[in-house]
Amino acid sequence: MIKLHNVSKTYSPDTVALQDIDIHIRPGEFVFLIGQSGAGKSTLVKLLTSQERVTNGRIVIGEWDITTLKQREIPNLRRQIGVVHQDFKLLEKKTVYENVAFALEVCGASGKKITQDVPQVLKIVGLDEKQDRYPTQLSGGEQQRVAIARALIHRPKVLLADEPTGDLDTITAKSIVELLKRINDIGTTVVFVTHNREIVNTLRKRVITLQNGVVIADKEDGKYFI
Amino acid sequence: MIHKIARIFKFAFQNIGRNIWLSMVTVSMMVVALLAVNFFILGNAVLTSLVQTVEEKVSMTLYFKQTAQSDDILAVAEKLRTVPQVKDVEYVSKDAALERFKKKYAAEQNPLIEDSVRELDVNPLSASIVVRARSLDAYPVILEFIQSQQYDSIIEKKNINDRSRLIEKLKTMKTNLVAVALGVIIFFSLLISLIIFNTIRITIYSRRREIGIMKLVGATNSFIRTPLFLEGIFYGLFSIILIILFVFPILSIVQTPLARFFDGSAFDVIGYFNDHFFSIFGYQLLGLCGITLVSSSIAIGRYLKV
Repeated sequence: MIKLHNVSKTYSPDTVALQDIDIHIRPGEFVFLIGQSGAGKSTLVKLLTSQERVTNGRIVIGEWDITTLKQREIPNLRRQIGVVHQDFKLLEKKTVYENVAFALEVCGASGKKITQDVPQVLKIVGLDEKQDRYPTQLSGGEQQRVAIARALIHRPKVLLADEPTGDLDTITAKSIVELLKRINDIGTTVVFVTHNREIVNTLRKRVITLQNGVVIADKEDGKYFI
Repeated sequence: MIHKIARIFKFAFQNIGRNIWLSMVTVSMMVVALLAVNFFILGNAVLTSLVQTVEEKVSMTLYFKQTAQSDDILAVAEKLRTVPQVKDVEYVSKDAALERFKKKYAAEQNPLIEDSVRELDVNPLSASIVVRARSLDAYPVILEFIQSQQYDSIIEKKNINDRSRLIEKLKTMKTNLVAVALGVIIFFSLLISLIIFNTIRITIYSRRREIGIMKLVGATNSFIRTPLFLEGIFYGLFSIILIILFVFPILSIVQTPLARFFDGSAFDVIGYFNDHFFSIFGYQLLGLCGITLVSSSIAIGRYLKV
């Protein structure tokens, strides 16, 4: 599903964010990407969403080599990968419904499809009752659910969750993890970037550990050991 | 295609409504800038009208000797009418001149002058020709023409030189005024463009996070830009509507003092704005949209690099 071949990212001649990364994530997998701050986790997410370009190497998502992606093709890529961010990245002036609908509107979906799909996905994340609220009227956990709903609206094959529980309390974080696990159960590949030891150790999924821009461990049924 | 256009309009209206304070600040800044533009247009119109009034009051009078025959004078008038630069020629006979003189002093109720006129046996006034040129520049040409025609034997008074000096002065004054006005126009245009440019940039700056998020969920640059451009055009449209609502009451207030200034020959400012309604406000709207589009594209461009 996602293949990284000798991927390196250098910001200035002396700042190496990632070095010779080789990762292969299979379809339907649930993978934790862990590491301390500055390990290169966020850089990797930025490379996968084309917010940054690789310095060396190749990234393939599905059959799509995104290393050579043209600028005008980037929106297409982003519509096919669901991304959830730590700070939710919701449009504050739009309601819950509109935030999710916006992801469909950008790709020219019909009004019929929007009115059909948005309520469905809001039901999945448990926010169908709060669709007319604005993000500021929701709790952190609810805001993250909106972000997940928006990421799911295109029925993506891959969901990138970049520290989705970073700003949430333990109980809310657990409910978000549960939701992501359910999404994975229906076949979506989930890449979960985190440094939350408890979550990683409870789920016992594949764990890829980054340190100083290098993969130092990649284990099935792994644990948080740094 | 239709639903895409409808969405662009929907987003533009939503943005304006949901950022109502920012929208109000933007529109009010535009209105302030446009007020300055319209005051300038008013000033320019008044100035032009003033120069025109003075120009119309300038005329050249040729006084003829007592011995000059009316046929000869009429021949001079006829000849002058053939000069292309001459707008009109008025012949004032000796009798007409006396009649005017009497009327003038009767109105002033000056018994001394009235009595003196009654004492005279003969009409002491000369016949004259009043020449009005099409423009101030034409007077020296007409003067030259008169001098070239050898009318010295019948023309008595030569106050022509004094008049030409006045004409020269007026011409210099008008040229200077035009130069100053042009400088002021350029200065104000730059100032107003900068105000609007920066207002739009601040508006976009305050929404940079929103633009970044839109990019991350897969919006194309044009999908983000178009509603923002449209929003700018709506701001321009609202500002023009507001300025029209402001300008006409202001004009009706300044109309009376202006009429007084013009000594009765009232310059109709409301009429002027009505006659030039589409050119005045149309160009302002076009200019506003132009500045808005340029400043929006510069401001948005920076935040689209996500």
